[in-house]
Amino acid sequence: MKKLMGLIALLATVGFSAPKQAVAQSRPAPGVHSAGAKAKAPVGKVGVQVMVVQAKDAPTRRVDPKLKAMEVHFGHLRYNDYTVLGVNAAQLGDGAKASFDVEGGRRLDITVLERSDKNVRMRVQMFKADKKLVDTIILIERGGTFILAGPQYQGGILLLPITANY
Amino acid sequence: MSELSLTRLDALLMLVLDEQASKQEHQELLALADAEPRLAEQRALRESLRAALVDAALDPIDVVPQVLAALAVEDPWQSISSGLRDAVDGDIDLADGIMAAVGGAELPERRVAAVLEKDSVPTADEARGILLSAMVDGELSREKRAELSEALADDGSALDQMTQFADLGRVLRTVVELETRQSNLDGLWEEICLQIGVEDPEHVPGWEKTAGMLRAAAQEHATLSASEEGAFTAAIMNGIPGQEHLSEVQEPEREQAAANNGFWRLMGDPRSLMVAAAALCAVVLGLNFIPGDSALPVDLPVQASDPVAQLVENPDLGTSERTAGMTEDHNHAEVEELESGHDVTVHIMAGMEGAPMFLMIDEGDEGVTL
Repeated sequence: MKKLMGLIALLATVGFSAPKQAVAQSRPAPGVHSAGAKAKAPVGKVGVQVMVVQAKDAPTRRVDPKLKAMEVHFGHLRYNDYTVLGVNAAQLGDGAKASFDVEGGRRLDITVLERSDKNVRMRVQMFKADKKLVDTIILIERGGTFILAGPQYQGGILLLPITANY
Repeated sequence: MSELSLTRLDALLMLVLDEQASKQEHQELLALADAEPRLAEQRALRESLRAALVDAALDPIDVVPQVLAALAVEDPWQSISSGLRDAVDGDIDLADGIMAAVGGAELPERRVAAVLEKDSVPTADEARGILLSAMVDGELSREKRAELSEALADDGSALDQMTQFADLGRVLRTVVELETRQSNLDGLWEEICLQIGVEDPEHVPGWEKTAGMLRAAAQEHATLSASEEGAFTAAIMNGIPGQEHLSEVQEPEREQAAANNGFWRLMGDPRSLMVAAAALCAVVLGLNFIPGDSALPVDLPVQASDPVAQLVENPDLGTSERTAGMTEDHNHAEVEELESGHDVTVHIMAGMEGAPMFLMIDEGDEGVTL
């Protein structure tokens, strides 16, 4: 009787995304969902952080201390001088959009489309004046970072590490 | 007469001597003189005083000294003149001037003897000198003073001398007042510097050496070298936290409305209600649910559209912020859709071994080189 009541309690508890592996045999596997799957997102907002970094050539190597954890990933770049020009942040709920001004007359729009326990789907758009440079939808792992790079700026290029925390 | 009246009488006499008394003060002086017992017997003197003050028939300066002498009032100038006499080097006998002036007048010896009450009769010159000295010094009695004043009344030269003494006293008093007043010493040192040839009033002799040592010490220890300055500046800049610019967030309407009604939204959510009911059942029945319990029956129908819930301890229903740039091995990303502008090329560089994905944007101006 107790076990039956317990099972009923389990059946009645809905709204959590991660299925129970022992019982659900046909459930989709946890982790990164394929495109199109509508994952149930927990309540809350996504903290989106955008760094604006200038990479250029210099006589001596110099890396901004704020980029210490990321420096290892710059090894394939030919530049040796990395300077953080600014850090922008926003708390976005599902469907919310934030706009960030970027050096060189550019603008970066980020819209959180939906998020799950594991990852978040965001739309990233970059403009230069009225010209759209890129419009992409990216599924990024929770707490992960991807980098927009390449816009020219004062003899070097801009790197825009974008991190999604929640 | 009371002490106060006598003082007032004396003061009025001084004013008359200084030619500063008003007509009202003249009248007051005459009234006090008439009431003074010591002048009661000096009727002629009082009449002379009245003639001088009211009728202007006589010069007050010629009369006032006689009144003073008759009163035997201690002239306040006496103490000053005595002090001056003591302070001045050399012997200045004020009586000499009077003696020289009155040298031609021969006082009756018998008067002199009577006045001095001495056994021996001095010579005329000696007598005159003694008398005048005694009178100037205030050593004569009232009666003797009065008698001598009567004798000097006929001696015009003696009276002239006494007038000169009065003028001299006035001048000396003015000089003493000028000398004893409180002076403003501001600017005095600058004037003295000019007189003694010192160019800088603020100059302190002997300070140059000490000032030089202090200057050298400050220049040695209060400056930073180029490398020290660079390290100092870098330490400050590194200590400044990263500036986060909060951008404008555009919230959709449904999100905004729901955010303003969190509690009721939670309660109105059927999922939340069923969770609460399940928790109540678990508490009532005392169940200990263990995930992965293989003893559960597997033939119970499970609909794929209703995913089985997993009880999670301490569910994270809020957001957590992490330090900017702290990328760990959670950088897996996929590009689901991509659209670029005209003449813009985007290259995707997938991250290997946890590295972040790079989207290289070539805006078409000069091309992108990595």
